[in-house]
Amino acid sequence: MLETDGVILTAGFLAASARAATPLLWTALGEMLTERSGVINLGVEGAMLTGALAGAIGGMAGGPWLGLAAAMAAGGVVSLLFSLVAIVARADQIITGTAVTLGAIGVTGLVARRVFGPEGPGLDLPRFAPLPLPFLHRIPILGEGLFSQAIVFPLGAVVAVLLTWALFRTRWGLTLRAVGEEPAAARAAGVSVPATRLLATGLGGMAAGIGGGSLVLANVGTFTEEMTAGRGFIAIAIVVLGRWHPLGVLLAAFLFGMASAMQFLFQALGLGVPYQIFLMLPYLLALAALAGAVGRTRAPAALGKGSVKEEV
Amino acid sequence: MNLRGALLIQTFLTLLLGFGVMALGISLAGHDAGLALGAMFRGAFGSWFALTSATLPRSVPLIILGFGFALAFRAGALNIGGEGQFLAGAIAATWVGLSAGSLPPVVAIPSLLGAASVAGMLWIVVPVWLRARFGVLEVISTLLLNFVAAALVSYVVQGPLQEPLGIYPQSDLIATSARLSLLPGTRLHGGFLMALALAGGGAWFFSRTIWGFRLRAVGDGPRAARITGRLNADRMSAVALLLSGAIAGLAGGIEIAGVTRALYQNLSPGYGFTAIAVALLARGHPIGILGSGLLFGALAAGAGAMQREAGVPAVAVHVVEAVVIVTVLLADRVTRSRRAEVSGA
Amino acid sequence: MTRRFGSVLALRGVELLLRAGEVHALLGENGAGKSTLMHIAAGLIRPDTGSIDVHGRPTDLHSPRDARRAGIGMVHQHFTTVPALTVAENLALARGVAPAEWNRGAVLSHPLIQRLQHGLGPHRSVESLSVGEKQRLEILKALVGGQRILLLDEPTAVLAPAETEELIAWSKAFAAEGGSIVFITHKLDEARAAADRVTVLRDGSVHLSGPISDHSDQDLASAMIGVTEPDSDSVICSKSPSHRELLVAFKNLTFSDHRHTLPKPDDTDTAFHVGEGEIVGIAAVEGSGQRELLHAIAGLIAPAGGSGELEVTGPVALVPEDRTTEALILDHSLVENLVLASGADAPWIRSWGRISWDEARLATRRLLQEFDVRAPGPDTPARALSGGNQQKFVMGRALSRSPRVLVAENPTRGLDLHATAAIHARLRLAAAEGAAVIFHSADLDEVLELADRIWVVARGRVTEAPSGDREAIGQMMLGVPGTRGEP
Repeated sequence: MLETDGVILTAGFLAASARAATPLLWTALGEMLTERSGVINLGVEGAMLTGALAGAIGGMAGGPWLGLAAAMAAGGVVSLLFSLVAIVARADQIITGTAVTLGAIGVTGLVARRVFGPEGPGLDLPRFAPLPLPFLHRIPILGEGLFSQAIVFPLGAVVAVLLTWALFRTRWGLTLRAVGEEPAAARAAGVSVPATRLLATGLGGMAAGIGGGSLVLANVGTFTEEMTAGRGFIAIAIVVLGRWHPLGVLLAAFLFGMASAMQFLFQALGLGVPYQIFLMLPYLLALAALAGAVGRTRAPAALGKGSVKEEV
Repeated sequence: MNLRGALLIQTFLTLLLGFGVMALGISLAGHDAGLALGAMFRGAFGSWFALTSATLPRSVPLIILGFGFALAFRAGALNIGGEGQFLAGAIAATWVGLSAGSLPPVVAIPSLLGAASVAGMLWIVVPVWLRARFGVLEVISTLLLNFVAAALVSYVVQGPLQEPLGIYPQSDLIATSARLSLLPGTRLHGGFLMALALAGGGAWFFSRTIWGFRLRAVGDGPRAARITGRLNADRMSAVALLLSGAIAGLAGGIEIAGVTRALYQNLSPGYGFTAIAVALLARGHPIGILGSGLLFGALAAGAGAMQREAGVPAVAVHVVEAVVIVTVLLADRVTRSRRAEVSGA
Repeated sequence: MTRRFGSVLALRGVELLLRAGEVHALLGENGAGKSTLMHIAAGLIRPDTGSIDVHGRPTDLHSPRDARRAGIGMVHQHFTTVPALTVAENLALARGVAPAEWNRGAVLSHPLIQRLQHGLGPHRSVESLSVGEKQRLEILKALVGGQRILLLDEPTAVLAPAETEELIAWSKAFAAEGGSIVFITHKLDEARAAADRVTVLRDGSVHLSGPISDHSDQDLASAMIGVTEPDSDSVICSKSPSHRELLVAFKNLTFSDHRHTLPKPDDTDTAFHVGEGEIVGIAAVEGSGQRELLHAIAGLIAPAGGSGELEVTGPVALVPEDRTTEALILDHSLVENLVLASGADAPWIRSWGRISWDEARLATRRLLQEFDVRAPGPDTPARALSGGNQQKFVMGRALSRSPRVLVAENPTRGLDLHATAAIHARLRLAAAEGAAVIFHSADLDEVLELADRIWVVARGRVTEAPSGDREAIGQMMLGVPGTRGEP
């Protein structure tokens, strides 16, 4: 009896962790790519939020796949705005990112009110159905926990593997890393630093859009104002914890998913811990991650420093 | 050309652009932009009451938080966690205010404000330590702690500091002796004078004292400050961050003692973030912050009226803030590259 | 093979002919247009008018990639390797291929190219390379695509004499096999050792061109500098005080910052002294520990514990290495930059830490006048000054505090001849007035010219050079065993 409870509980916990991890995973993978090119984009929170709204609107109009596409496009547009100011005009990346996120909060608030009315869209958006992966879903506990998720979760894992290959085995990845480490050297090698960064930031924004979209289309099924609640910033911590490596990011994102899922677990166990503790937990974990990880790894050398100096 | 005049014109154009974009957004969202902006103006300046009871009280936390941000900003550190420190200060202030019933105001008010400042400073101690010890970007750590502070407020108003009936998620009203006095017939409280004093004192500090000068030097040229100025740049930005946190905490205390008199779950409508725009628009100059704080206070006051009268969500003012920040950044880039061209560097 | 350049803003009607199988020295002062010319040839900048012919064909170079495709490789004055990547990844980046394909083709197995690869394992991280190894990697990167034309922009600036010799020997071998090299330098002896022909640039135009053996050093020098005028500034008052007070003394110093232990400047028991009126020059290749030693004497860093002793009789003034980031805050005005360098006991500091800007302005005006700094006034931002005037201001600021000890790192780096002469004169004058002057210059010739005594710092050891013999000092700088000056 106890054993079965344990199995159900563990599988449920893993499933909840994976669900909570999915938006973080996509956003963090995107931000990892952006940071590898030497750009820190605090606007991912805004890109995610906008992606969530676009995902909700698109999902309402044409189902979850259209929603996801809309979310991706919206995230790309938001990061394009960031890029124009921070990469093309080379303004301070951190302040630009903050401003972009602020603007996204305002704009999504306006648009959501316009589209859904003051009551919001309600809990009736079409969502991705769980997709049991062939064979894998039969594995006890893990099958139910990890391999019967909405498609965006396994897709994110595949993207993480693909990104590992792209970053370390292809010319494009080499160029990207060089731009993030030593823009002057990349430039001397004939690489366009701004173009590389624009692309990396654009892809990062699109991934953040998917992250926000999956929050709506795979998890909660509705949109509320400021619903991302700082997940974009947590994604930045995940990038650090994952040591700027796609597979590290995959693991770190899941760890954060587990932290959020913990509150359901504790509720199920009936422990009388105030729920606010669990609201704090991911943020505190992120903080601890930053402290623990930064000491042992190194960020891309040119991260946040703007582009190459004008003189050759 | 007169530099100050040029800056004023630039600031004016920046604001015009910000409002323009918001108006555009409002009309695109299907509202009447004219009606919304009109409601905004009436809500902010339409009457003596609107000015003294809506605009000025809202500008107080913005001025103080903006000054706190600027203090760290000019020393080269970014404290994005003003919101969290504000809330930490508010919690401490409420706690002191609730138990200060037997104390006379001359004791109660300073201890409330002191506790708020200490709490704000404590809230930034961890980011400062993480920065010094592990090189963690303070931007991210202070930001994360905002969410922790919001959860903490939510906990205390449903736990230890909840009103005695245990129904509403808010605290009891603080003791009368711990409240800041009001200008009769208005909601303008003594905190406004403190904001004025902070801005004036801050301006003097930055331009006339060696300490303020050194903070600026650390921000503008950290290597030169270390090697030529023999300053410990890391320690100075750490001190600036701690002071910045204390000032943000003070703002939270003043808000409790002067405006709400009790702790609520949604005490701050994003004051901490708006304050960044306030400080940036003024380029970190304390007197400028006074002006931009008043302006954004008016915005916040007007946003409420806009929502009531024109049905435009109050979050729309974030669009103005975002546009203002971006425009200031871009304008600074332009002037900087022009300067570089002139000197041929 | 011909390449021609027309007129550019920084260059006026310059024409340069590089033949196959030659090393061509490009001589000129800073700002003469050498680098601009090379950047055009490397595809980094485009000329306003004029053309480039490679192998007799007009060639358009829009980007570094075009230049490489046309067979031109460039080694920049500042390294353009990526420290966080491996040697192989850096080479792949330069070739524009995926990391695994870094050694594709036969280029890397050519004997001359292999000579460059000595010790450069493909999986070594570039961070772990020495300066000389990085330099070789730079050349490898420039040639890895099979390029036969090599542009070397002041390649010897960071090298020790023996490394310089090896580079020159290699360059000649490369040319002997039909390659072409443009060797940029401002040192005549190097040009003579390396090159077959020479072109001298001044103010953006060619002032001399032809086989180097046809021209005397005097010819080359006057072509570089223009009319040779006597240095009116350099007044050498060498008084020899009968009893010199010792102002700096140290032995057994070790240093550590929070991360790693820096090299020990001295692990012998020999004590080192500098007396008043002396100029001690420090010869060292980059990163040998000289910076730590100078900063310790200047009081910026404290030696780590142990048996080390350091005694300095102050006040000490420092002229830091990097004018634009260490000595000045470029966006601040000159008066602010003066206040920055002064302590809390400066005359313009009032009670409560208040600053009297009027008084500081007055002091700045005096400084500008006394040290011949060409600037509109004390409120001018430091950025608006030329490099020479910035350095004169920095020097004047250091000397205006009447220091007993003056510490200077590369005090004339990047300055033209006149500004250099002015700075030299100031250093000599300071010594003549009784200060102990300790300076380091990456340019060994400057050390030899200016110093009364020379210390060599190599791999964290300080050694007193027994004589002013250039070659012997060069060996010591590289830490060649048996060359340490035994007492």
